[in-house]
Amino acid sequence: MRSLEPFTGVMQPESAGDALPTVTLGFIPLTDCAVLAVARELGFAAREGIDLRLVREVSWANIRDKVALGLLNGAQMLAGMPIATALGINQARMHMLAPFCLSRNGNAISVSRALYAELAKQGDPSAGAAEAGKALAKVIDERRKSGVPVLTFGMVYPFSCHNYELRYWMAASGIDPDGDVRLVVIPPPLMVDSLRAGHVDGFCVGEPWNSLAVEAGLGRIIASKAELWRRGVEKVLCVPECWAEDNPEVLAALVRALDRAAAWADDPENRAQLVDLLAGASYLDLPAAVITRALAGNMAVGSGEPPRKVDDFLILHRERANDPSITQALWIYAQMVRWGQITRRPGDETRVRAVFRPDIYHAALAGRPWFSDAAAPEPDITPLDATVFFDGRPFDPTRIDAYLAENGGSFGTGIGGGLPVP
Amino acid sequence: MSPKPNNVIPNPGVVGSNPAGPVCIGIVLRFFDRHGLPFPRARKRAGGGRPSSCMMSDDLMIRADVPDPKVHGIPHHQTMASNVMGDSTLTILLIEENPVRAAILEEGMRQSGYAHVIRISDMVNLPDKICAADPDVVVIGLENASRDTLEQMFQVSRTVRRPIAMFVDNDDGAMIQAAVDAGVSAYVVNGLSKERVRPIVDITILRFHAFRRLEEELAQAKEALEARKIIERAIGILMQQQRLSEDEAYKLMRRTAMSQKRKLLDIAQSVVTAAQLFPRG
Repeated sequence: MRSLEPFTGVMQPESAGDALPTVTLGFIPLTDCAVLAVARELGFAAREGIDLRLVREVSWANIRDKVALGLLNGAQMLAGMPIATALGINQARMHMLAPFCLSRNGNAISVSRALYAELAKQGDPSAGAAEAGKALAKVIDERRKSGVPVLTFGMVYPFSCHNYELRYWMAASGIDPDGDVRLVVIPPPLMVDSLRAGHVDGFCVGEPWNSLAVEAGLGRIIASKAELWRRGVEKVLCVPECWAEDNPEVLAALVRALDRAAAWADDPENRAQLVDLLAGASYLDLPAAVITRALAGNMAVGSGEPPRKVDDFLILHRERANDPSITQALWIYAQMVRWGQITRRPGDETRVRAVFRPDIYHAALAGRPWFSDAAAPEPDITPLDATVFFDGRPFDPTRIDAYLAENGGSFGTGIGGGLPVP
Repeated sequence: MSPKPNNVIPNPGVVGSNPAGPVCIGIVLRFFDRHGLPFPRARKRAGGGRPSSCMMSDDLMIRADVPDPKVHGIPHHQTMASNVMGDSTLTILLIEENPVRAAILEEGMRQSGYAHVIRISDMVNLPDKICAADPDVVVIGLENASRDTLEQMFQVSRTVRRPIAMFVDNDDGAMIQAAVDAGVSAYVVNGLSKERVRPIVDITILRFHAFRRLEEELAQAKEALEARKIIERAIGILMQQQRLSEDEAYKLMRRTAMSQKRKLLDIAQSVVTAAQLFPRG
C-alpha cells in the first residue's frame, strides 16, 4: 500500500496528548476525492482527534476487497457499491454503511470527435442531453441500416452511477443499452487511450477524465450528470457495519471532520488551494488547469469551443449534499432491477434502506453551531422531485414496482431475468 | 452487454491476430489425461483448434529462481504445492502488463505442469481477449486497474463462464494474507474445487515474490553502479587537482571517511560537489 506524505497542514489538533486513533481510508484519484484529501491535508481530521491516513487505490474491486479483508477501515466508494454488496451481487457479501455523501453530480458523457460529427448530421448534440440522445438514436438507426458494427461506450464499474446514468439517458432517448450499443468497463485512466485507439466511441466517466479527452482533442462532452440527474449521489464514504458498531465515536468524529472539509472544499475562495492539493503527486498527479474545470463548473466541452458554465457540475457540500439520501439509494436499486443485475426479491428493499445512514450523519453533527436548520433531516423517504431527471420522469420510492412496470418493460432484454445470486 | 460474437478475436493463440493491439501468446504443449493418454485439449474447445505455437519473446528467457521459503517467510505447504504437477485440464489466463513478471509467472506455471496458459499483456480491449480465452482461472495483480473490467465480464457476460474472486467465501485466511502480501488476486470459475485452485495461487504468490526480489536486486545493482561512478569521478578530481595517483586519491578519501566516521560515498560526493562549486580552470 502506498502511504501519503506526512501531514504538514495549518491546524493543530484541539487536544494534544494520547496518540490519535488512526483511520485508514482508500480512495481513487478523481476530482471528487477532494473532501477526503482536504480532511487530511488541511487538518480537519486531526482537529476531530483522528489520524486520517489515505491510501490511493487503482480499482474499485481493490477498494472493495481491502475493506472486506480489513486492510482498510473504509473507503470512498461508488454509491452503488455498498448497495450491491448488501444484496450479495458484488462478489463479497458484507454489510457496509454509507453515513456520508462525499459528492453529488460530477460525471459527464463524452463522445469521440468522429461520433460527434455523425451526431451533428442527425441533430444538435451541443444542445444538451435530450437533443444529443435523440441524435444518437438516429445515428444508431442509420448505422444499423448500413450494417456498421454497434457503438461501444465505456463506463467505470457495473454498479457505478456512470452505468445507470448512461443507461437512463439512452433508454429515455429510445436506445436499448443492452442491444443497440455495447457497454464496457474501463478504468478512468485508460478511458482517453481507449478513445484514441477507437475501442470506445464514447464514455461516461468522472472528472478530470472528460476534460483530459477534450484537452487531447479526442473527445466532446455532450452531457453532464448535473443535467441527467440533478444532485444525484456519486461517491459515498463506506465503512463496514462491524467497524461502525465497534467505533461509533471515531465514526462520528470522522463525519464531523468530513463535514468541515466538505464545506472548505466547496467554498470558491479556497478553490485555487484545493486544485493545487489535488494536482499533487499524492492525489491526481495531473495538471491543475484541467482539474479546476469541474470544481468551477466551467467546462471546456470541445477543443476550439468556448468554455461553458455548467451549474452545479460537482457539488461537494452545499444544498445538504453530504446528507445520504435513502430515496436516492432506492433509485439506484431500482436501476439494478431495471437492467437485470438482480431480480426483485422480497426483503431486498429493506436491505437497501439500511445502507445509507442519514441518522448517523445527523447524530454526529447535531448541536454543532454551524449545523443549521437548513440541514434539518429530510423525511426518510420523499419522492425525488420529477424535475431532477433530464426527461422529467418522476421516481417514487414507495412505488418501485409501478416504476419498473413503466420503465423496465420495454427494454432490458440483454440480461433480463437477473443474475443468479452467488 | 455481452460482446458481439463478430467482435471476438477468433484465435488468441495466433501471434499477431490483433494488429491494433498486443499479442496473446498461447502455449500448448503435449499433455496427458488421467489415463496417461495424450490429450489434445484444443480439440475439446469451442471454436476449433488452437495452433500449437511455442513462440517466445526474449523476455521469456529470463529465469527466476523460486525464493527460499525461509528467507521469504512463505509457509512450507506453499512451496510443496508448487512441486505437484499441474492440472493440465485447466486454462489459466495471466493478465500482466509487466513483461518480465509475466514471463516469470508463465515459466512457473509451465514448470509446474500447467500447460494451458494464456497471457494478456495489454489492457486495451480486454473484454474481447478474455472472451476468446474463456479461462478456468484468471490470475491478475492486485494493483492492476483492469480488475474492474474483468469483474464486469463476470457480472453480465454470457459468453464467459462466471468466475468469482478468490477472496470471496474463502476460509483460508493464511492463503489470502499471503496473496495480498504478494499483490496477487485471482478469479476462479464457479464450482472449481479449492484443491485444484490452491496450487495455482501458490505458484503465483511465489513468482510474485521472485519478481519483487529481482526488482530489488536490480535496484541495488543500479545503486552500486551509481556509487562507483561518483567515487571514480571524485578520484579523477583529486588526481587532477591534488596531483595524486589513483591509489593515493582513493586512500585519501578512505582515510577521511574513517576519521570522520562517514561513508566513502559521502566523502566522494562532497569532493564532486566541492569541485562543482569551486571549479578550477
